[in-house]
Amino acid sequence: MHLDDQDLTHIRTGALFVACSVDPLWCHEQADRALAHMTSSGARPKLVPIEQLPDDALIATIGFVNNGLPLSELRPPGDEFVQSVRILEHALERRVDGIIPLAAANVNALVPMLAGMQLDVPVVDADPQGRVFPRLHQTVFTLAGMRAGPVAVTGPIGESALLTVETPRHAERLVSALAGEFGGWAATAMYPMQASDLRQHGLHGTVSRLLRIGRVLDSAEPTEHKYDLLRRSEGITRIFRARVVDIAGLSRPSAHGEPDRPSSAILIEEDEGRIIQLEIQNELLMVLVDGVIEAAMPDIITMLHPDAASVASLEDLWVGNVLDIVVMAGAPRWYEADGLALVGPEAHQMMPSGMLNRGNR
Amino acid sequence: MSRSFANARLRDLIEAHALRRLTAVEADPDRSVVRSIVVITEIDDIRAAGPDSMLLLTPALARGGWMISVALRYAWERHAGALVVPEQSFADAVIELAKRLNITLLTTEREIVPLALDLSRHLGETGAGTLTRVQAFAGQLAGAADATEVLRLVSRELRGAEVQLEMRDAPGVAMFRSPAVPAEAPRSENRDRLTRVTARVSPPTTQPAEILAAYVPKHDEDNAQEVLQAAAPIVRALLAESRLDAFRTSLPTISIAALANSHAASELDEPTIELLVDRAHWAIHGPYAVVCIFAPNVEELGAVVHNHWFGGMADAPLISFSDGWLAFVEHAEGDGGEALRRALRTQFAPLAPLGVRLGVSSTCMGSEQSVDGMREAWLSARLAHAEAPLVTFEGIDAELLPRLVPREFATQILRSRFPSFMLDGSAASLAEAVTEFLEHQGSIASSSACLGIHRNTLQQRVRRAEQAGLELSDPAQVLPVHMLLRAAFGVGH
Repeated sequence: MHLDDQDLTHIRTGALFVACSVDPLWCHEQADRALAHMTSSGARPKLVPIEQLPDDALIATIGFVNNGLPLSELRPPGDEFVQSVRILEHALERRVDGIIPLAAANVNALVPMLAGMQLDVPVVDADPQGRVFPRLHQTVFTLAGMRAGPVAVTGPIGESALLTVETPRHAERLVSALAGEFGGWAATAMYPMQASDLRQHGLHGTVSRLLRIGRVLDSAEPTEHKYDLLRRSEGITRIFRARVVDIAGLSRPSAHGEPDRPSSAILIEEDEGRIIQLEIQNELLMVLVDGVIEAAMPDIITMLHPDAASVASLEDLWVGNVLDIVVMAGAPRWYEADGLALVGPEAHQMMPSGMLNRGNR
Repeated sequence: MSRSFANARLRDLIEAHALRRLTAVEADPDRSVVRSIVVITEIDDIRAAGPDSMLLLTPALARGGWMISVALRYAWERHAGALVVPEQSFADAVIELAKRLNITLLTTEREIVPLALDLSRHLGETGAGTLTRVQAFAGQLAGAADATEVLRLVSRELRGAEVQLEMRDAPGVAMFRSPAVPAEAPRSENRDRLTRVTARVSPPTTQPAEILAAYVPKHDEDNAQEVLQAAAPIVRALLAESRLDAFRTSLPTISIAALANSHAASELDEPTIELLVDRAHWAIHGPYAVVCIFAPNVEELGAVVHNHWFGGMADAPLISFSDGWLAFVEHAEGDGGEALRRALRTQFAPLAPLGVRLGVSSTCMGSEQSVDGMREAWLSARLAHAEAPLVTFEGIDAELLPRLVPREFATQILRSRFPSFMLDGSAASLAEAVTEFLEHQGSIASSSACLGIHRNTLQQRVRRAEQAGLELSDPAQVLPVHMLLRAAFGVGH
């Protein structure tokens, strides 16, 4: 299906909802670049299910990777992913037939929309994370034992590199280091694979889910109606309406190699007065209610403004503000033992996943 | 995870080891007890901690407010009493959570493991001290003369706590009770805030069971359990001895009653109680009263009744019969038996819930009145009930008499209440006239016609009976008088 302006706006809303990012500005800017390209070129992003591609079609995963610091002020010029994909094609000596986002959330959900139009390839309705994790190796491809490389990277000022690397974990370290050298971020094209492999190991329908979520949230429906729709269609499990009462800049030691610094927010539930703690590290890692862990990675924890169910960001965590804390399950693959080891609480040096209250899931 | 077990007050541990209290949730650390010290090296270990434990989080675990919150929650679920973490700053919400969960949150600047060892040693010393003290206490109990003395010693050992011997079927109702407790001791009216600790006195096969019960603060629960366990065998032995003595004392009376084929005293038929009295050896020279005591289970309550009896009337022996006991108690000079009644009420009030009932005769003199006195006491005891466990003969309301009195007893009442009437040589004809007069609703014409006498004669007899003391003008007295007359003289329809 070809996406129009409205679809792109909805995908942006859905991408922000799933990610609850520190800085939504990049997501908005990426959507604006795609919309501008649509206007200037008349092109439309093409979103296709994997079934529409032949088994031997070459699929690349593209997305921004940063170096663990807040995103740079160096804004992307717009052709960085074209350059990375071309480098990857050159290394593989064949053209890419389709692209997927590194994460179907936040800015990376919008990256293939622009790049797909620029490269004239479809965006496959799939991704390897089903949400956003802070590291590029935290993918279902890693769980499947697939190679991350070769990896093509392009920086803010056009510098580029091709990394001949095997394991995703090693690729993460190299790309993260390069992103620092480039100026804060790197536009990466990686995980080259055949469509048959993506069909077997990828998380499918994750981009179209953003479209569905965005349509609901951008509608004029009352907040509670929107929540009902999301409960039914997207599996939202819990919503806590709470008022922010305290922000702690550092609630725990920073884990080595983790992006950004950890922090914590304390809220008081509006109805029952329960104490809600949010543990934050680039994303919302964990929700505690009166000391009980109600949700933690890989659960998707996000926030909405209660008045119109518009997506909130971490910047909305100011004392006195009332927010709806929304919890929904991540992809089922992440709740298997190896998935939890890769992206669960222990992976974030937090606690054994057995502590998590998943009784009502 | 590592742990140790014993028992100590939380306050003692806090003060002895310089722990800094962050929460004021524990209103009374004296009441909080710590039974075990648990060092948590992995967070899942918290789930294995027991009630009243003190949890110590290692620095690796106590990272950040969220982990403290989780630990507080687990501590609450496990009924742990306190959580100790390395010194750090906390969000207000964490302290608020500790308050809500009623977990005492403590911090320390010491290394966790050495601190845990010190705390464990403290607990161990406390436990050893308890055992030694209980052993010494058991030695003291061995010299006690009776069950009451044992309860007094147990109460003293438990800082004046209320201690009593109860039937399992009637928890909270004392058969024996420790003597008055000091003012600062836990009071019985505060039982709701105290913990009831019990130890079985009777052998496991005996029903109904007797148990020792003490009402102590929660922190003293374990100590009280040890003390009661030490006292229970001695109480059992003393009770058995007391029952044996009571049985031995009453053997001659029992034999006489058996020979006389006496019925149960609480049945409707009056017992042949004359045989209980040895008039040849009558030893009471002044005014006296007869006391009758009924109990639903004479064998079980014998020792208890004897104990309470001797607590107030030690000079007067109890005479046992099938359903209770009789006693002849000489009045204190000039008090008309008031001291006796007061003493009985005080001594036996605790036994009322167990079904013990008392009756007290009017004042008697000499052996001749002893049988009447016994009847009065027996009747009074029969009229006693849960709300009035002690009834004196003088206190029997007149309206109760008609349904209760046998003929001889009715005569006795008339002699007692209306002596002038009964001394009148024409008492029988006067009674006949009055009875007919009352049964005809005060109609002179019909009653005189029924008796076959002139109406003036009937009027004269009725007036004479009134002059002799019969109260025919008082509606409340009319029916009892009528019934008494009928019972005593067998007149009327």
